[in-house]
Amino acid sequence: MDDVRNILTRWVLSAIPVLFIVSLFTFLLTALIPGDPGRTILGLTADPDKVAALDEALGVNRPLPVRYWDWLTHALQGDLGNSITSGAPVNGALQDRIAVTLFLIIGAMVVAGLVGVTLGVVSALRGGWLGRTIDGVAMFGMAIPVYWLGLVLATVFAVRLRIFPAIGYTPLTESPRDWFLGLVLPVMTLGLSSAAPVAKQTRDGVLTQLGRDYVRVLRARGFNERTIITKHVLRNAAAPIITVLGIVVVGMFGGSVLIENVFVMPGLGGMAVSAAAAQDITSMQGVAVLFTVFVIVVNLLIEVLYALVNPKVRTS
Amino acid sequence: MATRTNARPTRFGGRSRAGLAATAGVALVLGLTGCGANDGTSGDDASGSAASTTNDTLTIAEQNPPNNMNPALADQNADFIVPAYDSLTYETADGVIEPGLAESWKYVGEGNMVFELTLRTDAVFTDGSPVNGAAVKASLEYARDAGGNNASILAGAQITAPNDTTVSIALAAPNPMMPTLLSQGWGVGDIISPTGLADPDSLTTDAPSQGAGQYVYDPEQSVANDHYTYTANPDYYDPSRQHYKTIVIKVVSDQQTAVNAASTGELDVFIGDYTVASQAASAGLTAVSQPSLWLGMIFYDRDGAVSLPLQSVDVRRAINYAIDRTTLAAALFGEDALPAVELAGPTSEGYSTKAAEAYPFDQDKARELLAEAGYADGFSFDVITAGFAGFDTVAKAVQAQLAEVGITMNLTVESDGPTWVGKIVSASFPAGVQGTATYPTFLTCQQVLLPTASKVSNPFGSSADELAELCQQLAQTDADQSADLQKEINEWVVDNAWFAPVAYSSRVYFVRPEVQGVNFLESTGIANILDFAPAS
Repeated sequence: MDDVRNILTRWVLSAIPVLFIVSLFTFLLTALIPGDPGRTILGLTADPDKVAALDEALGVNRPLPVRYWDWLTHALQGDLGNSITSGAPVNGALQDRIAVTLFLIIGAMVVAGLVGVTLGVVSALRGGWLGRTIDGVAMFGMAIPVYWLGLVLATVFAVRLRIFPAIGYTPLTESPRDWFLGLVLPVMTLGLSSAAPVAKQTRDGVLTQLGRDYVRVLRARGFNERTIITKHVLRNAAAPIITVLGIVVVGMFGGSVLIENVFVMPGLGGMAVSAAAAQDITSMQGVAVLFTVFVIVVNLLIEVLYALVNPKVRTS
Repeated sequence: MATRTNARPTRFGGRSRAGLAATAGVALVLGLTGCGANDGTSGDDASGSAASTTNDTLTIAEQNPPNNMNPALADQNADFIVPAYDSLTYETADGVIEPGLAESWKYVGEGNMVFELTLRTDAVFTDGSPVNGAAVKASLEYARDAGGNNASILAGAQITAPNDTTVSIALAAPNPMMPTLLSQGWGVGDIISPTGLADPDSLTTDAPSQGAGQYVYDPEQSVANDHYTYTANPDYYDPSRQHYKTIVIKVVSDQQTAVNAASTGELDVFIGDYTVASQAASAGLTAVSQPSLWLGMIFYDRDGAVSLPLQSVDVRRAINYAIDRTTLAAALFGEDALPAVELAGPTSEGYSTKAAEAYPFDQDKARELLAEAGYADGFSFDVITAGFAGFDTVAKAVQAQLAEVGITMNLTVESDGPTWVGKIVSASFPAGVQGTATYPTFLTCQQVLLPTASKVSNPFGSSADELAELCQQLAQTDADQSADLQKEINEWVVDNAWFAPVAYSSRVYFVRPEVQGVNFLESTGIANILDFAPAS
């Protein structure tokens, strides 16, 4: 437990500078996008004097350090400001969307883990043409554009087979059935496209462990194969699998932007896209900070899990 | 559906627990789906995943979210405003102006300078307050001063409300189109309640609408930039016009996604273009379209301040002759696309068949005119265009065609909208390729042709006495007697080659069979979603 506590403490301390750097970087990048929010709000052909006046009122003409400091001081008090384009509080907008993205990511993580590990184990154990086929499928999976996969799954399972809806999201509290059905295709798209590296790492890890002396010893001592695989081989192969899964999950945040667009889901990815297009700095900052927190939490969980399955890490 | 698990012994011995778990999982999924989630019936579509098509809910997909939920500031996103904000007048698909919040209107005196409206007495805002003279006056004054795209309609106007049912607008310049311009979709006539005007910054996606419309925007059932929900206003003065209980407008940027959703009944109508026409037809959707803007070149610098060759009408005519509009229109917008020679739309009163036949594709004629103008060896000039909405595609096609007659277009493509506009209004480019709405001719004069027109269309403020006189005459002529004058103006513009249009671009609505009433408004070229109704 001391090891876990140390990990937690280290991560909390390192999260602070990470959040600061990411927020500053996002602010600068967004501020450098050409254009002005005033014209976005009033329209392209609006009176230039009116546009200038609105930009002044919005404070977008202030020096960048002043604007960032203003945002930072409010953010530290929990106030992420108002959307420049809509005027609505960013906190509220994030609250409306956070559950969508979290359900999508968590579901996809489960799918990627289950499918990836299963395929990897089967591929390692069976070998031969099946192993090579799974390897090939895994490589193919890594190359498939997630956007294309989403459209294909929607065409097949929504349009042709009418099993799942093609678009939209229903809150869990509104209808658990519709919530589940609406998540299946997006989760499967994101999860399946992310399963390939997990499968690859699992296969490699299991094959490595199967070649170790302790496996021969266990077999010689009469342990059945299922016990050897599940209680010993997988456990010893778990550490790098968990690491890859962590990397994959972080990548899913980027993939969620595309998936939310394909399936028209009101998540954080969609908010980031529209905020960037409108040069809505405050909304962009809100999404960036939240995504950073998620990534930090995911990496923390991965490190804790890694420590739990790898005694060498705990004692180092 | 039977699920086959491990039927033979494995290394693990016996049937796999994992296989049984997989079987249970599949059974759970099938049970929840009920072997079909999309049975075409409606549920509460506020969140958007259930099918939508019944008399209860109309679900429409737009490609872009609104830039603003304030009627006075909303750009071209009338669909997000019109359901919640009734306008003073109401334009029908036949071009007839019917009563809205105003039950009658008239011009007072001569010259279309004073416009007077008589309000209906039974309309109320969503906060229960009456739609009376004072409220309408305040809303019109706010729209005049707010700086939105259409604020110029009331620029300099003095608005009075001598009593609860009368509003008088004393215009700064003649305007024969006030009944149309105060109708839905133009913004200024969409009346905002005193509560909304007290805090216009509150007119966001987070707050209920503050109008007197057929519907009320419901922020609780909406998510900004994703879907916008409007519920029928129980206090609306004419319930027979409310065809649905709920209208949901979703933002769906990908057209293939929209086709998929419409084919499963999750969308009733979506707005797209010809690139998905065949897929939409296969899905049983009907395409309804009408040209709403023209794409092509505007010769900003007609006086030759930056580019001397463009001062010559022969040079501008030569450019028109050098463009193969028929081929470009088909290549860019599909076989059904219409080539454009004039600024008026094919269905508008000002459309001239004589002008439409002006500049058949003739490269020899183009070279001849260039030689007569002293440019037998050609010339080069700078052109600005935008890297979106297909403008740059049109520009590059025109560039290639002009090169064949010795004219070099130095093309600058600007992908950021505000920056693009900034470059145009700076008057540093002598020409640009862009899209312009097929306005009624009076508005074309005001917004595009006159020295006082929008800087996006006339950055150099170029003018011509004859044209100004024609536009002035049009402003003072009754709208229903001006068809010939409108044609004369369009013919003048084409003859003097102020522009080189290439093709009309259409806003295409893909409609499920369960919906009718998708008809286009003559003044805006867009369909009025309040006319959409369940098919009988």
